[in-house]
Amino acid sequence: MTASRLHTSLMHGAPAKPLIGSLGHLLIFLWSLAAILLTQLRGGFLLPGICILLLSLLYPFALRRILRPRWLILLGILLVTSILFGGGQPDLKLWGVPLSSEGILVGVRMTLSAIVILLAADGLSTSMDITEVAGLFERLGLQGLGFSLGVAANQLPNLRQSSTNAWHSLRMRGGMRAQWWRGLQLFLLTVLTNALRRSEDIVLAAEARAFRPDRSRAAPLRIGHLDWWLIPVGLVFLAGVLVLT
Amino acid sequence: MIHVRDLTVSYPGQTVLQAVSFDVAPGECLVVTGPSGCGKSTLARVLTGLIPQVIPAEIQGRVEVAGLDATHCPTAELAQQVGVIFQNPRTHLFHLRVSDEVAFGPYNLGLPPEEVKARVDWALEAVGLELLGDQNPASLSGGQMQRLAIAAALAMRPKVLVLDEPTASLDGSGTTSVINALAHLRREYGLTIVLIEHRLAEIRRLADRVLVLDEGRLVALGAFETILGDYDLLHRYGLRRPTEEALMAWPDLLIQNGKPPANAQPLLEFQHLSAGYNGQAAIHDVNISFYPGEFTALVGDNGTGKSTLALAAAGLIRPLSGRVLFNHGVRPRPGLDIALLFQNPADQLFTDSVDEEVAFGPRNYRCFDPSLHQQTLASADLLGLRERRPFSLSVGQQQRTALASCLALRPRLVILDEPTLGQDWRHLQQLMDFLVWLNHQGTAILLITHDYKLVYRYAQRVILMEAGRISLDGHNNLAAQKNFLTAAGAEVNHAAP
Repeated sequence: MTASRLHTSLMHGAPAKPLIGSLGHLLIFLWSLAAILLTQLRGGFLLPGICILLLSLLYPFALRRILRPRWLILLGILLVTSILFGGGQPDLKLWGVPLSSEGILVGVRMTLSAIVILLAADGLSTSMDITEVAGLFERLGLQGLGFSLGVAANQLPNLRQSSTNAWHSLRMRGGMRAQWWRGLQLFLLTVLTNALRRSEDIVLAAEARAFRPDRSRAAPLRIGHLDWWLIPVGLVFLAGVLVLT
Repeated sequence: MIHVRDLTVSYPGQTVLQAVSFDVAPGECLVVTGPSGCGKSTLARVLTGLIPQVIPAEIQGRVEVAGLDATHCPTAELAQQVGVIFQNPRTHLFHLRVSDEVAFGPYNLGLPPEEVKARVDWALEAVGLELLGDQNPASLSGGQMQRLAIAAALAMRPKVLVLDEPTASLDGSGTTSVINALAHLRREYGLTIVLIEHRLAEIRRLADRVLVLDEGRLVALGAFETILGDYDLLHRYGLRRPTEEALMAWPDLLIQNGKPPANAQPLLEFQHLSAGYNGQAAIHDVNISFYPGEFTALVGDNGTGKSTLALAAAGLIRPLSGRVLFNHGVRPRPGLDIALLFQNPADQLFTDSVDEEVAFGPRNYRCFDPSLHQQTLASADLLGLRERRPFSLSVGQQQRTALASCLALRPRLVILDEPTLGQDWRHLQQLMDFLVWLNHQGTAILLITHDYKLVYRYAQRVILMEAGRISLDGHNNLAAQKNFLTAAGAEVNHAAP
């Protein structure tokens, strides 16, 4: 067998097609944003309620994440501040605090909208690969940005590791003691230089594989069986809600 | 396939390669070896066009690879003829999915998606990773990562592969998987391979010829067995004689003992220790003691928990359960009681000069003594380098600086995590001789390594880790090892204290 086989021996495998592909997840995210916009314009709780139900069924992991205490506290703060500063004339009292019915409605709507956005964004970011997001940027003509985004996302765990190494190294020599200010300076500088060094490594590896920032490398989006159906389904759903409300 | 004539490469103020000439035939595997800093990696970068096109340097002479002038041909064009694999794949893989990593190169060539897909499938199959296409590269083992790096280069369909120490950070099984993949590619597709390596045992069955560099000059070029049979040459350039160490299983070469030294109080004690990261234990229920003045080796494959054990021992990570006791009662103070030398010394250095690096710990603990500082620098042979920036030093010098910065606090136990990475045998021996001297001064040493020969020569006690647990606590089976090494043609003088 010779090198020529290298140029001709290629395997062709059938790609596995998911039910909902990256395009579908992107569409679901866009429809969710449109639903929030409509909620703000038309009022009512039906639309955000249905969105939360559907998104929770579609992205149960996102619902689980949102039920964590830190998110519940944030949503609670949003609800309380929206109620207190949501406008309207005070017409009822709760534990002696004057509140307006209009403010409560605004607060609940704002919180439900926030939940919809969080669920949809979490679902999208978890279901769609960073490379595909990068590919989208490339498709939009932002050449090189997609590559930078992918590298940045990939850098995070490495930066975390190099920061941990730098911190361990500092701790091995006493940590933040007599030379705490110098130690802090050196620690931050080390994290920065490690990031730059890692970037250099990536540039070298990318150049060795023919990367050129001026050439678009739009990776294809994964299309699922239901993706194209989501366009008319979304349109019908929003139109139905508009008619009903 | 490759023709190099009178190649001289210079960085400002430094000539790295001098008048190097050689040829490589199509389908041949040429091993390039030599002491650290002899210009091997520079040669790899020249062959792949990264020097001078990405890394500026002055080049004289002629370099022709697969019919292209490597010194002038655009990197993107050359990348289709010659693929490069770097020493540490972790720093050169930058996608979140294995298949995307492999597809990166073909997309850069502007190929249509169907062609890219076909190349990705083919390249992954060629290195045996076809079932891992959807995985995150970060979740792969060291050997799998290196094979992924090879697949990423293969997807460009090159005629030549240049590999810069591809097995340096791998254990025995990882090394074997990479060498098997290379042997398969060479046999099936007739690839020409240029392999830069210190560890010659593992590549014995792959190599046709060896090129030895020293201080940028070609000092020997010939058939693998001829060059490796020249003991004077090996000794002169600090090269290791090949043994079959990568193929040996640790349990066959060790004898269970586990008895503590008579009347000795433990220096460091693990009691039912479990430790790890993000709540996940990497080591489980470890019970073991280390005694003053011991020279111990901790061995085992990648991912068995050796480094986690070292971090827990040095007090740098908290146990998930169990206890780490120093001197029979207290938690060890990082650096002051137990020092840890990281795998990559560059991770441990963070100041502007060697002098500050070594003095930082004592100053921080308010125990700086100028005479002790001078003594530490002298013992690590760093007096002449004290004003140098640590990152401008060679790997061996960086390692000595990192070690001196640990020793400046006079710890009772020094742990070294894989000090063999990127080191040639001569530098490694110098480091080990220094450790033996330290050990004779009363410092206990815990050496974490895959390196069979180091364990044989230096360790009094050997601990084997498997799947996060201690599976054997004993010592070298000297008779079995001596027979084995003698049969393999290696030197057997036992230099352990």
